[in-house]
Amino acid sequence: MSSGRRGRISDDEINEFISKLQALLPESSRRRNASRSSASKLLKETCAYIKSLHREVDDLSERLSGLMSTMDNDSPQAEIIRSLLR
Amino acid sequence: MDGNVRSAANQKKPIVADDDLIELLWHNGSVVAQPQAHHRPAPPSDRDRPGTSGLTGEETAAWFPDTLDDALEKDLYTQLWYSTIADAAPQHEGTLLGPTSQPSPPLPPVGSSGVDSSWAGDICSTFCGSNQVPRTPAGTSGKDAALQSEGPSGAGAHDGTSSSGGSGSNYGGSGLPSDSVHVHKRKERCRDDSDSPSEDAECEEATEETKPSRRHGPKRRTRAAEVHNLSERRRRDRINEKMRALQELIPHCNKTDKASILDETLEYLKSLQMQVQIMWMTSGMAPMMFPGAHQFMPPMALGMNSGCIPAAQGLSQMPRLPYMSHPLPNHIPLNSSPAMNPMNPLNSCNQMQNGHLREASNHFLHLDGRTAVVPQVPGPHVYGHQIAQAEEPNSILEVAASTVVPTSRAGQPPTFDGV
Repeated sequence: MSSGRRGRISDDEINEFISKLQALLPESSRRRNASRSSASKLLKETCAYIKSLHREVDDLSERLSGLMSTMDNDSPQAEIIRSLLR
Repeated sequence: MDGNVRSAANQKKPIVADDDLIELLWHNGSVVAQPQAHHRPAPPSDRDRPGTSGLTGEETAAWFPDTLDDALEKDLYTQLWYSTIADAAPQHEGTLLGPTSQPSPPLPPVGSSGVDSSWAGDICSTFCGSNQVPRTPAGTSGKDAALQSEGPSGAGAHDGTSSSGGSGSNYGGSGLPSDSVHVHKRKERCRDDSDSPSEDAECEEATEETKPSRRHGPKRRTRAAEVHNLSERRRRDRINEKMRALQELIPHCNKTDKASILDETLEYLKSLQMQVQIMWMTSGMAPMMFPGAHQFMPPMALGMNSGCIPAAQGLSQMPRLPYMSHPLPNHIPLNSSPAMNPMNPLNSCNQMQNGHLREASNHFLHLDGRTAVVPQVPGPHVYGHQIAQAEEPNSILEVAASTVVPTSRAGQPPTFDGV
């Protein structure tokens, strides 16, 4: 990514990270508010978001594996689903 | 006889006992054990004599090697004790100074005040001497001075006390109590100032800072700085804790420096989003793969977000889906169309298989977050719409197509391999 100093984070990196993160996080994009994020709050939101995504992936994986059982295993879509579940 | 006992050849041996204090007195080589009560009157009179003073000093000096440590500890106490010796009526057991834990003034309640004072003086002097076993001369001199001050009991006591106090001041032991008390005060103050319970480090820090006798003016500044440092430290701790949590969430994250953790977080977040999106698509599409999977309509009926709908128009105009049996209306009826179009996109997509999916994931990583409309993925054409919004419609369409695998149209030639 950026070639900033790896020892200590520079301000630029932080700002870049914050802006990207806010773009990714669902809530921040709605509010367009950059001032309410202290670093710890931002990190906390990120953690929560990642966890929710994990949960979602788990749910979908379950679903897909359920679907898998309803179709013949040799079909191409089964292949796709298997690749997804990997 | 008692006077004889107290002659120069006397040696007094302290005995620690509660009720039966017996002083063993050697008189000319023979031990004469006498109960304390009897003894007490005699020694003072003897002690009055300067001759015995030296002996006392020697006696104390003789005692001391055994009880040096005790004496050290008892210094303060003995000092305090002996300051009130003159008034001490009850006889305490234990010998003068050395082995007893209590500094017992072997003073008899009776006797002249002079005797008492002298006794007290003597005791104090001996006490001094005991303080300074390594400094016997000083003790001796102090003792002499004390002895000569036979006067009112107060004077004797004073002398003794002062001398012992003086000796005590030279002494680390007596210095200690005041220091510890002082430090205690600092710590208490520090504790009062700081709110959170985990302020031990802070207190020590404060103590160290204020040790060079900074008291009043700088104290406020220092405290404010302390508070600031404290809050700063707490903030940093919270951030570090969250960074660690993040690091644990991210798979295969070996780095510990913040910058790389943040970078990996961003990448991982994006890839996760894409993965979820694809899975939604797949799970939504999968029922489409075979007819009659109407029960999966509801997820698709969740409704397209506004972004999808204009894209639907675009898709309908796209030549890529010539197989669509009917042209897609601008407003795609989510509920009904999927049922009717299951095969069409499947036809077009039949060539797109797993491989596309994998390379699509790479493409997906290039997308920005705009396509993060994961939970709302409706029917296959909607995928296309969604994908049309993306910056790289080619690959995404492929991917979308690949997720829709036809069941029975495997023979169909690919209509779009990439636009």
